[in-house]
Amino acid sequence: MPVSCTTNCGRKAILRRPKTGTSLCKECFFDAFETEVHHTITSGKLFFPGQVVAIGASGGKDSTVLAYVMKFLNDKYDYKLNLMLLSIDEGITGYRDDSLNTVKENKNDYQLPLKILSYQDLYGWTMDRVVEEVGKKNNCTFCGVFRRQALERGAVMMGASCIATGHNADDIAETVLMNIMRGDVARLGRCCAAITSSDGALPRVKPLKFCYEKEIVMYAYFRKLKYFSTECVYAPNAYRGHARNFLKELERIRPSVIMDIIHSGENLVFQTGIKTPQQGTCSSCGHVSSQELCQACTLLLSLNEGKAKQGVSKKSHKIRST
Amino acid sequence: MCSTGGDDGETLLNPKPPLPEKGTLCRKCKTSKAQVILQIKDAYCKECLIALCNHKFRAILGKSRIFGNEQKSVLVAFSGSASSLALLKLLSDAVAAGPSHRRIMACPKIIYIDEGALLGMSAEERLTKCKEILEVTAGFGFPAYAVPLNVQESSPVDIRNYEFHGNTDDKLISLFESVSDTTSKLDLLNRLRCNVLSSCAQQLKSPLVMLADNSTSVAVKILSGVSLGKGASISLETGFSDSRHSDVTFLRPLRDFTSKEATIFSIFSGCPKPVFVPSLLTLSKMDSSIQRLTEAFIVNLQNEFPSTVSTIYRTGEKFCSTPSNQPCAFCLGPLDTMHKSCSALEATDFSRELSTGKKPESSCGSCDCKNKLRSTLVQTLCYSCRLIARSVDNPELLPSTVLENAREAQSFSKMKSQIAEFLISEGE
Repeated sequence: MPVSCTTNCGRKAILRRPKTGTSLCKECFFDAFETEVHHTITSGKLFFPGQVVAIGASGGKDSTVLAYVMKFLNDKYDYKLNLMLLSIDEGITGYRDDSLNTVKENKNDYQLPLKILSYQDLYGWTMDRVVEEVGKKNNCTFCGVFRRQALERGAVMMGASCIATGHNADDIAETVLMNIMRGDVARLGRCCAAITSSDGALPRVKPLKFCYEKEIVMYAYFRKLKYFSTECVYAPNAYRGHARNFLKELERIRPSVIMDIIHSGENLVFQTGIKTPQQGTCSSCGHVSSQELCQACTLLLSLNEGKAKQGVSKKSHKIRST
Repeated sequence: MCSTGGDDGETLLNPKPPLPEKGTLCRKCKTSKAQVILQIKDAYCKECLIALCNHKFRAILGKSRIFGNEQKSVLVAFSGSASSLALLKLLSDAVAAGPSHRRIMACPKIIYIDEGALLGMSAEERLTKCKEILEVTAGFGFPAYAVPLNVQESSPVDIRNYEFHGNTDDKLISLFESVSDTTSKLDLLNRLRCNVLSSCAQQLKSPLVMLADNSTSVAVKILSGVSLGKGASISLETGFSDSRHSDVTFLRPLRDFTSKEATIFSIFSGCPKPVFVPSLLTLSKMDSSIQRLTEAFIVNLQNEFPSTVSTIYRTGEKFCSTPSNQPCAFCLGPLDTMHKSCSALEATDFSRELSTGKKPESSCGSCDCKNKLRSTLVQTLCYSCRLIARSVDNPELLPSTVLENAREAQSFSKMKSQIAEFLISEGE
C-alpha cells in the first residue's frame, strides 16, 4: 500500500526521515531539508550580508551538499553572501587527487570560484611522504593538524571572513562522545556551538550541524549530486573509530539519539575554576595556539628534524624551536 | 573534509602495558607478597588492600562533611551485588569505634527493593530472594527492610515479615507493558527506584540514602546518560551527592572504587557471597537498549584500554548542575526544555513541524484525552523524561505524584502568564 506524504500534500511518500520518523515525498523532503538549513543559518545568525565565505570543499558528500545548499539558499533568500570553494590537497595518491576532480566539477556546476592549497606548498611535505616517515598509525594527527591550519591560511588568502564546514549532526554527536571518553573538557564545552571562534582565528561555521548524515546522503541521492565516496587510503583514526561505531549502534536502537546527544552536549554545565588552556599565538607562525609553538609547527619541526615518531606523543609539547 | 575530522587524534588511548610478574611484593607494605593487581600495575597484598579501601571510604565521607557529631540515620540500598556488600562492610567498619579512627556517626538501615513482579517471578521465588538477602545481611547487625517496586507510594516493612499485593503489582506491570522500548523501560525503572527509595527514606526518617554505584557503573551512567539527553542532570545522577528530593539526599560513596576493587574488597574482608537477583537488564541482548549497549562498549574498551573508565568518570566529575526554580515533574532535575535559538531541541521541533505540518505536542482540543494529558505532561518534563513520556502508550498509568506535579506546574505557569505583564524581574 502506498504511504502518503505526512505533510498532506497529496503525493506519495518515497522516504522515511531518520530524524523524525515521518514519511515524505521528494518535493517535501527537499523543502524540509533546505528550510531547516535556512532555519539554522538565521536562528544561529551564522552569516551577515556581504560576507565572504570560504566553503571547505573536499568532494565528499557533506561538503558537496553544503556547497549546493549554500548556493541555493543564497539565491533563494538573498543572503548577499560571496561564496567561494576552498580545497586542501593533502597529497594522498588514490584519494585526494580523485576527490579534487569532483570539487572541480562542483566549481563548474555551481559557478563558484575555487582555490586549492597543497600541503606540499605550505609545509613542503605531502601526506604520502609523511606516512613514509611516521608510518600509518599516527598519520591522521599530522593530517588533521595541518588541515586545520591550511584552511585558515587559504581562507585568509581568499579574503574570506569565515569558513563554512560540512560537519553534520552525526559528526557533532560523535565528537561529544569522544571528548567525554578522552576527558577533554575544554573541547566538550565548545564542540556543540554552530559558530566556533577564537581570538585571531577565523570563525568556523557549521550550517549542517542539525542534519543527519543519512539525510545528507538522501538529499545528494535524490538531487543527483555527484560526490566522491572513497575512504582515505590510510588507516582511519582508531580513537574516533570507537566513538563512531558506538554511535552507529546507538542510532540503530534509537534514531533520535544523535539529537539527544547534541542536546546533552548543549546543556552540560561545567564547574567553575577548571583549568582550560589559554589561547595565544604561535611564536613561529603567528597562528592561534594554546602553546608557545602551535601544534602544526611542532609536528613540522619534528618531521624536519627526523623525530616525527616522537612528535605524536605528549612529549612533543616540550620540543621548542631553537 | 577528511572523514576522521579535524582536531582529534592528538591524544591517543594508552593501550595495555604488561602485567607485573608473579611474586611481586605489595607496593604499599613492600613485605608481603601481592595478591591482587588493581589498575594495570598496582599490586597489593590482602591487608593493605583492605586498609586502602577503608581509608578511601572514610576520606570521601570525611571530605563531604555530611556526618558531624550527631548520629544520622542512613538507608543503604541493597541489591545483593558484591558492590552493595562492600558498601555495607565498609560502612559497618566505619561506624564501629576503632582505636585509631574517629567513628562515623551513622546509623545504617538496609533496604531491598523487590522487582520480581516485573520479571514475572513467582511468589515463592520472590520470597526466597528476600530470605537470601536477609541471610547475607544479618551478620552486619543492621535492621533490614524490604519494599516492592511500585508505581504509587509504598511502605517498607521488616524483611522478615515481607509480603506483597497483587493489585499493586498489576499497576506496575501494566505501566511497563505500555512502554514501547526497552531503553525507556530501563530509564523508567531507574526513576521509579529513586522515588521508592526516597519515599522509604522519609518513612524510616533517614535523611540519607547510600547507593553502591562504583566507578564502572558511574562511567556507564555518564555515557548512557548523555545518549538519553540528560546533559543537564547528569552530575546529579552520577555525582557523590544528589539533593533533588527535598528531604532526602542520595550519596554514592563507592564512586571512587572500580567494580574490581569493590568485588575484591568484599571477598578479602570476608563478606558473604553476593546474592544474584535478576533485573530487567539481565540476559537482555546487547542491542536491546542504550544502557546495555553502553555497558558492553565500556567494558570492552576498558579491557583494551585500562584508562577508559577512570577518564570518563573524571570527566563526569567536572560537570555540575544549575538549580532551577521549576524542576521537572518526574525526575525533579533541572528543566532543560526552554527553547533556545539554534539548539538541538528547537531544531528537532522545527523538523517535526515541517514534516507533519502541525506544531509538536500541540493540544488536540477535545478529541482525545490521552493525548491531551500527554501534552500537558510533556510541557512540565525535562528533555529525557519527555523521551520516556512519549514512549508510554497510556500516560495515565504513570505515578500519580508525577501527574499531580505536572498539573500543579501547569496551573502555576498559567497563573504566571496571566500576571506576566505586571512582573518586574524575569527570574521569579
